[in-house]
Amino acid sequence: MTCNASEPTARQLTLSDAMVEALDQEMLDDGDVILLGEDVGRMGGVAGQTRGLFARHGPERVLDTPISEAAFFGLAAGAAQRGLRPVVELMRVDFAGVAMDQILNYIAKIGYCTGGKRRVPLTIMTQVGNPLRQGAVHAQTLYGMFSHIPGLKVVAPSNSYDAKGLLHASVRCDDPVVYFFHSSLLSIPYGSGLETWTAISVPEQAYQIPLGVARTAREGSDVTVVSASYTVHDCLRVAQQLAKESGISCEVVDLRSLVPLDIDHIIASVEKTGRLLVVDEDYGFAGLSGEIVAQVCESGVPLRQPPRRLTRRHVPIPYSRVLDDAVRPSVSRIKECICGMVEPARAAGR
Amino acid sequence: MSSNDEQLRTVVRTMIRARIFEESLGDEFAKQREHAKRAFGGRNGAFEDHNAEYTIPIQGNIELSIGQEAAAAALCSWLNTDDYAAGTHRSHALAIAKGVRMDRILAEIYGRATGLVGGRGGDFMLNDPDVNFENSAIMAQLTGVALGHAFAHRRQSSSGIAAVFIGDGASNQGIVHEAMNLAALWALPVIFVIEDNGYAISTERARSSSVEDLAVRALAYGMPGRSLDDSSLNEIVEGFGSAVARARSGAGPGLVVVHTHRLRGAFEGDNQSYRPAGELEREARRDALALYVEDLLSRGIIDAVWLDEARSAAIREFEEGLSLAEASPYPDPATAQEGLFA
Repeated sequence: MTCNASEPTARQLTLSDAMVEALDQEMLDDGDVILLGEDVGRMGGVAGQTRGLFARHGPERVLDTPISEAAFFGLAAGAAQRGLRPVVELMRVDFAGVAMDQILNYIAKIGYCTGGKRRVPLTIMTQVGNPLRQGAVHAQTLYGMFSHIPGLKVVAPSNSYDAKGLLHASVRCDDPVVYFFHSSLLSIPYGSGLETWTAISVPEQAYQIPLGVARTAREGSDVTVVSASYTVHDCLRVAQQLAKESGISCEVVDLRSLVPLDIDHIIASVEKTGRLLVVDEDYGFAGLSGEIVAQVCESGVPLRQPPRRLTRRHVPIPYSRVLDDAVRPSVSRIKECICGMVEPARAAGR
Repeated sequence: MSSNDEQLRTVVRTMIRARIFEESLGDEFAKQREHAKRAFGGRNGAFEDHNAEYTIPIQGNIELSIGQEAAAAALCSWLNTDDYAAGTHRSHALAIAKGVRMDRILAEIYGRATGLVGGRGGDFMLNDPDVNFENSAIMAQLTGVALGHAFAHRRQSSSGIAAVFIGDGASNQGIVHEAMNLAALWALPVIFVIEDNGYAISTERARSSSVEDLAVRALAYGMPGRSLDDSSLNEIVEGFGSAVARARSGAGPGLVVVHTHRLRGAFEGDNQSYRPAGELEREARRDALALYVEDLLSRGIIDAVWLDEARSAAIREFEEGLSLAEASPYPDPATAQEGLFA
């Protein structure tokens, strides 16, 4: 979907409003969809991502829970096996630790380990990212940690259109889906510093974006830059700058889904460009970025030079802005990395 | 709720079936382990791949509930198929009481295609949606999941309830306290059952719990808590009857603590050397099943013929189940990667 906000007919929604719209439509459409989590009811979510749903659907279906993630994740998992379709929110992904046994050892496993006799149609909605520079435990993304667990589907939308379509698909999915929404994207298209391409049109009617399908956010020929969620925008910004400044042509692939991973889409792009850079806001070591690089290498697709990764350094996220800036992927690092990959080859006439 | 003679007979018959199932399984396991010892001095050792002859059919640990069948049998005598019951790592008695077939349990323990979940779960993840039973070997994990079954029952206006078993050791897990609070807060029809056998593997209750009677914890969550001793059949049956009736009536959750006795090791092969001298013998004299049988015989509710028949039927049931397990094919290895998602 490449609708552009510059079209006069474009219907712009912030990412959080797109989420509210998807949840509202799902709840209207199916009485078995319930929403539960901390402050998702009366308050409408700490980031407005469930605003208005309590008033519209009532306290029996939009449930403010105590601070008891293990208990209410278990509750959601049990209810999901009796015909309900719970959307359960983990306020921030950093809080996963206190819910993790339910996710790791029950929700993810019970479908496979019962030979499909039980399924857990459950959406885990959770906020990631670090726009407020809140330090080590209110800032992580943890894409890799969840993707590593067999039995979970994982999505991470980068824009309002995908946010709505992926949320519809997640709620409809008969498997547990982890839905990462990024703090830095909640107010797009109105957020400062974000380019116009973030403001793609969001249809009012319900629609699904299939899980496991990536999209090409920008076409290019020199290098494939793969990313997800917020860092897709950093990659697009770099691509725009490089096109103007040095004529380097970047193809930006927005993963949308981390599990299933649309590796064919990535390989097809690398086949065209011959170069691969994976930009991941998550920790690099033993993470998703390494997985993507490995799968591309294993595919045997010809590469003009070794693939690169640009990720968070392998340290907890430091609080001070200047320390955080030293260990996270950023526009300048992405740019430097791409130039380092493409320019020497150009100088050598390859 | 009051029980009748037929219900008491049912409870004891269930306990006999569970006892014979587990004693026979324990015997079979000991036999197999003896066989493996000849090769490795243990079982399923590091080099089993090189010595397939000594790979034994029963994989993993076997953890028996011999001595603690009373709570499962008494509770389940009040439950319907649609009620949910969740067990622990020590849950064969609960599975059998809830109506799970012995042969399907055995086939699952033997890792066969005919097992409850086709050899994908094993003894620590038995699961039978047909009778709404499952267990988990993660301590207290299912206290959370039980809330969801209770929540759905209430939302769907069924009269169904959920029951979840934990031990005295697992009662100190954080999720138990979260679940009790949430259940009471939302008045969910769930019964928390703590089987207090006095030990968490080797650690006795006094060294892991701050209170002696775990039922007092219910008070902190605003729900009724009751301590029952499994030496009295009538007390335990009636006790569960009122807890179930209360949950079904919509009055909210309850906690039932059952003081019971673990007559085998925490796992087969555990020699229980951590118990003080003479304790196990004293525990054995308080075996609920033996007490109940004596009680019912003396009250004329059962007789020796009934008892013999109940035992022979259970032995037959186990033997037929074992034959099925042994004769069943293993799952097709080509399917190992199937079914991760719906």
